Amino acid sequence: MMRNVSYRLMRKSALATAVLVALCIGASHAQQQPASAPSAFPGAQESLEQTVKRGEYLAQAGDCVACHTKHDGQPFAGGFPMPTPFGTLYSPNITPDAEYGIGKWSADDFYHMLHTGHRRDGSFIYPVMPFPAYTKVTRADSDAIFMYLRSVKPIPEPNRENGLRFPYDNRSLLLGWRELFFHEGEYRPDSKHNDEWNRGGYLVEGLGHCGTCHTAINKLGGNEDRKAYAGGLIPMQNWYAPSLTSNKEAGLGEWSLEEIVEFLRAGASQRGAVYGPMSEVVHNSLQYLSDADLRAMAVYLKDLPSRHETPPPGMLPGAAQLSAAVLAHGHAIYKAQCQSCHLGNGVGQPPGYPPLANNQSIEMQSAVNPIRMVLNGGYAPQTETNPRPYGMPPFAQILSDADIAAVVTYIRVSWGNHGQPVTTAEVNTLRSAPLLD
Amino acid sequence: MSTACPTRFGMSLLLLLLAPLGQAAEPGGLAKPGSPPPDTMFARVQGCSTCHGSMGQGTQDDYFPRIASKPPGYIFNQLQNFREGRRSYPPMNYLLAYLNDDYFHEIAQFFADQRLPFAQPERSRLPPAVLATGERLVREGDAGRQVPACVGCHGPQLTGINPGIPGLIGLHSRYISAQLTEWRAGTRHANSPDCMHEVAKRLTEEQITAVAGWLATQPAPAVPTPAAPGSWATPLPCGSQPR
Amino acid sequence: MNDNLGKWAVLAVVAMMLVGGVIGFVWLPRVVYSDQGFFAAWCSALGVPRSWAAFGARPVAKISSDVVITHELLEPARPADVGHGATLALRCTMCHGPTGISYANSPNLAGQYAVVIYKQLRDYKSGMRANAIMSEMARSLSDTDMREVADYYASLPRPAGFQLTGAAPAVVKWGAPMRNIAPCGSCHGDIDHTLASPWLKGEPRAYLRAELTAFASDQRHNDINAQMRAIADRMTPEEIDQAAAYYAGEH
Repeated sequence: MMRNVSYRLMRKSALATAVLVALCIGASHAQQQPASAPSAFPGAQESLEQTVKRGEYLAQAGDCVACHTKHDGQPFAGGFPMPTPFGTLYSPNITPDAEYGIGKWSADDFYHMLHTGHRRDGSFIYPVMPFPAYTKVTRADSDAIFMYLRSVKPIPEPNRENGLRFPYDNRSLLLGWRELFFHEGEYRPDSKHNDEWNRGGYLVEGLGHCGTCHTAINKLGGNEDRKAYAGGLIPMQNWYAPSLTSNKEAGLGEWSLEEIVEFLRAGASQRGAVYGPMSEVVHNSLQYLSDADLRAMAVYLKDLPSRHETPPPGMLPGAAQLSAAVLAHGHAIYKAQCQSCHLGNGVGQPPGYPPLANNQSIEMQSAVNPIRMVLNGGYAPQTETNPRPYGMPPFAQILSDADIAAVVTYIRVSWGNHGQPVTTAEVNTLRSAPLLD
Repeated sequence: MSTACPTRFGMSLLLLLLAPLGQAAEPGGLAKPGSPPPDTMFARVQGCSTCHGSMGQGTQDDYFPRIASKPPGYIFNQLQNFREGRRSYPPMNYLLAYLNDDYFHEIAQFFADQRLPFAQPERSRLPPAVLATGERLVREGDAGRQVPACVGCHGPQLTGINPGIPGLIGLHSRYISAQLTEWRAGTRHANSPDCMHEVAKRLTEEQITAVAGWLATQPAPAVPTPAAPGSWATPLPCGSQPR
Repeated sequence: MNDNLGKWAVLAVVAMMLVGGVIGFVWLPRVVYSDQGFFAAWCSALGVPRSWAAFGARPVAKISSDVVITHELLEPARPADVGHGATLALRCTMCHGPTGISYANSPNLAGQYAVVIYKQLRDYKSGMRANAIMSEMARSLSDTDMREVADYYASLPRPAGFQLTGAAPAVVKWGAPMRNIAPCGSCHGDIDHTLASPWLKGEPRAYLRAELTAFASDQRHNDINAQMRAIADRMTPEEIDQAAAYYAGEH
């Protein structure tokens, strides 16, 4: 009896040990395997100049410059601080500098990095670099981007060490994160849809990495597939990325293709204007995409399954009560401060002064964006199609919390809008939200 | 359940009653609903109105300066400084982040062209002796500390020179002392050579208070426009003003 | 035999008196209490109050600050304070930085104790502490405004990644008990915290040195009960430099 028990125990412990050892080997193997596949000569039928140009276009689609350039720094020289709940990370230098940049990299190294989320020495990349999206980029496109980056001016800017807290400063812990949130693989076209849809999917899911912000980010810093594109609060920056699904109330369900294309290309449209972090995206990335590509993205987005909007964390339903006094107060402020541009019936004078009636940003569940617009104002980004943007002034310094809560409540419930009222506490909290990096 | 029904009923009633308020024919603006806004610079710069006044004339707030009638090159430099981070003030850095230089020139020219009445000058709490010190510094400088007279660059009427040297009338004392202190501390930068940094470094804190206090009490100038470029030689080289 | 013993006893007592006299009246004042001078050391050893002898005593301003730290001031921030403070603090960003961390030698305010910021603003407004720009700025703030700004800055994260490197200099670690200098950390938070003592880690070196020097010369005199003036006056210039460099995180 004892012998049987001890034999079973031995077998179990042997199995457990084997599993542990396998995991350890797997982890170290996953961490340390360097890129070793032979390189393929990129695009033999394309001239080098054309490849670099194509790479520049794709780098714009991927918006590399936004994170790899610091505020007063040279393009792609890195050093841009990215605060996260785990600490602050600094982007690396990706100019072709031999010592600090990618000067010694090969096209294989670059593709391996983009595709598998490993650095050249084999260690894991922190997912603040959206490699879960960039894994979808094809080899040919990766090579083109690499050739473009090799052509920019090399800057000898040393890389700054990340400021992550213990235990997040240990890269090998990312193994668990990758298991949950990273699905390696190039974009696989869906044969049930046409080429335009698939091109849109490739751009939205891949280089555009739209889901990184427009899908809610959980406490582990990952996006959950079941909430894809249903919107989410961007941590640290405290802006809400709206839902992009075809939900009629929260998403793009009522937008036409032309409206989406105009919005993405110009930054302002009949439906509304971009603001917050999306201003940067349009300014540095989307305004440079071709009409065909923008249309493809619009086709893909319009076809996303309708999902209920992800409410921002901590939001209580029905937290604020609607009262006649608040509405009257809000109406008075609207008349004094907002009506001259947005007009008495809320239709605005688009594209310069966006409509408030039937505007997704105003009436969606999260009130973060309309409150922040009233607090801080904003100018639409300057783009080739919108070279002289109109702007909204900030009201934080002249309106109290009660004033702002009243007027935002007013616009969220008037003219057929189906938004919820907002509280003074919400307004107050957003006064200390960071304005820029 | 029993509390939810009356609330919802009440809310619908409320909305029904208030709906006419929202949809009444109150056009407000000059244009018809739904049509684009006026294609004017005035319509475009309303993003500046709550702090700087609808035409740049300033407001009662101490910290947001009057920008009307300032030289266009000076306003352009400041817009660029805010976008590039040489001047740090988060609401301005945020508003200007994605606008380009050509648009800045247009905005600057718009405000430079405005001719608007000045607000009443400040009534200073400072003792007369301090104000007199301030006036002396403005008109004569301080030879011992190698501080040039303000009028040497900013003009005998303190209305500035085109394109880059601003006038100093119509600003609040708190704003002026804040800017001089920032230059001294190095948190405000101008294009190099940064002449104002040099000047502010040589001033004592009491002198900053005196100068700011006196300048804020000055009445509106008879001719508020900046002088033409090259009207006189400036004592210090300045990155913001071509020589 | 008895006579000899008595003689030796007397000699021994006299010798002890002489040795004691040399130790007490010559060696100790010269070596240990050398900063006070002979007469001052003798008198203070006898228990004479310093003010009688006026040795190194300076006339101390009777009122150093009219801010009284009460339990109300120490209450946690009300919910709306941080938000209002954020809007008010926009005008402070020009010198104190957009995140409360200064780009120049003005002090970092991020993560500072709220009661410290409140007290300094009150002192600037009342004139107990003088600075051309701060006095102006504070004059326009109401008491509520000051509480809100203080609560806002207290809510911000302290300078990130700040590491105190190197060994603490003697004056920071042990103070100088013979000169009535307590270790800095016993009040400023490293070891213990006394009310209204600011958090010093990460402050600019030039600012810390300037303030200690100002305390030493009485130019700054808004410290409660003249505690900082007494300490800074007794610190040597080298010790001031060392303490400032240490807390700024520089060697």
